[in-house]
Amino acid sequence: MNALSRVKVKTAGTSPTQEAWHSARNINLDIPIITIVLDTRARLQVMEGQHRFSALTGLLDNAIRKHVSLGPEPWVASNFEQYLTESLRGLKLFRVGSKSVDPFLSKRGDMYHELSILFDPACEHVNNLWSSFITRQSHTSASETIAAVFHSKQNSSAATTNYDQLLEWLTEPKTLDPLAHFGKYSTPNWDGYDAEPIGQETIDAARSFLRMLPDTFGGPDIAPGSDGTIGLEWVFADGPLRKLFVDIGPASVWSAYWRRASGERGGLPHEKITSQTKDVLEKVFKDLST
Amino acid sequence: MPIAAGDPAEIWDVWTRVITSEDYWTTDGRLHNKAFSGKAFAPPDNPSPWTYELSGRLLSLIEHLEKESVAFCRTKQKDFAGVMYQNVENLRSDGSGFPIDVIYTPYDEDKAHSDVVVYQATDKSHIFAVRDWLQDFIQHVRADKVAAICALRRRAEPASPRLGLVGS
Repeated sequence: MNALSRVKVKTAGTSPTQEAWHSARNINLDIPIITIVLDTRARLQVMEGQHRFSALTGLLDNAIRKHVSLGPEPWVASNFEQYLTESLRGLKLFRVGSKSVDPFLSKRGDMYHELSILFDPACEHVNNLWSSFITRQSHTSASETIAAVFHSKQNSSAATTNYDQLLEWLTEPKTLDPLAHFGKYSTPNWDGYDAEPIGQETIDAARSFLRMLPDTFGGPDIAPGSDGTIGLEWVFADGPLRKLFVDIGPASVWSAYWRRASGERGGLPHEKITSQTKDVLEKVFKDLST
Repeated sequence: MPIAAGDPAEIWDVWTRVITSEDYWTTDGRLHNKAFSGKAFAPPDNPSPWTYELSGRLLSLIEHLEKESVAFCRTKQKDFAGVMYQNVENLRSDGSGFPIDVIYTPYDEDKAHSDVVVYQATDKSHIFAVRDWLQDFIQHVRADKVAAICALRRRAEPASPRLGLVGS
């Protein structure tokens, strides 16, 4: 049996109420996502969301047909790992996680676990897909997943790079999508003070920006702006930097302000968020940390 | 003498503003600088001597802060996430690098309306600096602690309210 399929399946009896599930635990039921579901018999099902990303789903479909048996034969671990390490190598990055499927989508009423595979080949629409997945992932208990993956890593004869990546991702809180709920700011007057809506382009730009942030100061506090922007901030009680504010948007632009412990203020005017932004950020953060 | 539209607020008064998004609270309980920004903190609609304004209300002219805040949020169908506030005396400062004041700016629907106003701030870098200062100086309470602000009023307000419409 494939190592990753050791992710356990919860059984009926632990199901939340339908109301609780839909109101609190699963914000986006119709998000586009490719999911392999492991049921109690370790069979595989491929579920696709409302959109089909043909290149990726095609790759996944082919890989499954090639390497995975849907019949009584077990899913061979080495094949799947080979698939991950070789087929996806060209995509540079992947993420695998586990979550419970909405039990009310299952006719049997059982709790399943999904094994979801997301891809991040620096492609915007796939990045959105990934973000959506993280949203869902954040509503599940990660402990069992982490334990299962760690167990798999220890028992795998294959290269452990993928497991290391996966464990790092699973255990790092900042990978959760902090903008998952920002869709609620997409309507005018969302604050009762005549706020401008925060557009999807701005949210997507903020996600891209967040991925480019150096780890220097940790994750920012993020808040909506009533002019249709998204604000990031870091505030420190000690050290060389007291405050760093970043405004993103409207659309794909950003600006920054900082105040050092010395009282010196500085900033950057509006700039377009591009692939070069990461270099700019690394330089600014390095400078501000000294 | 009652306060008139356009007058600076009395130094003993307290400027307040309802917070309508939980996302303005940071992970360590501060108020995010975006609570003092954006369209809410914008150039005035009408010609004014100041360049930016942040609308709020004067505590001395609010009869029931908590009830009115709840009603405001209910009417707008928004979260009642708390109230930001500060004494006028403390807000009347140029500590941000730009003169800041509190001006009484009532209108028909809100006789307690007043603005924190900023003079001479014109570009984005100026506003960033003002947001920085406001974040440090404006205090805030969660929705369930609004009574703390009312206690502040009881200590600061003169014996009789300045407008006849305001009770208690």
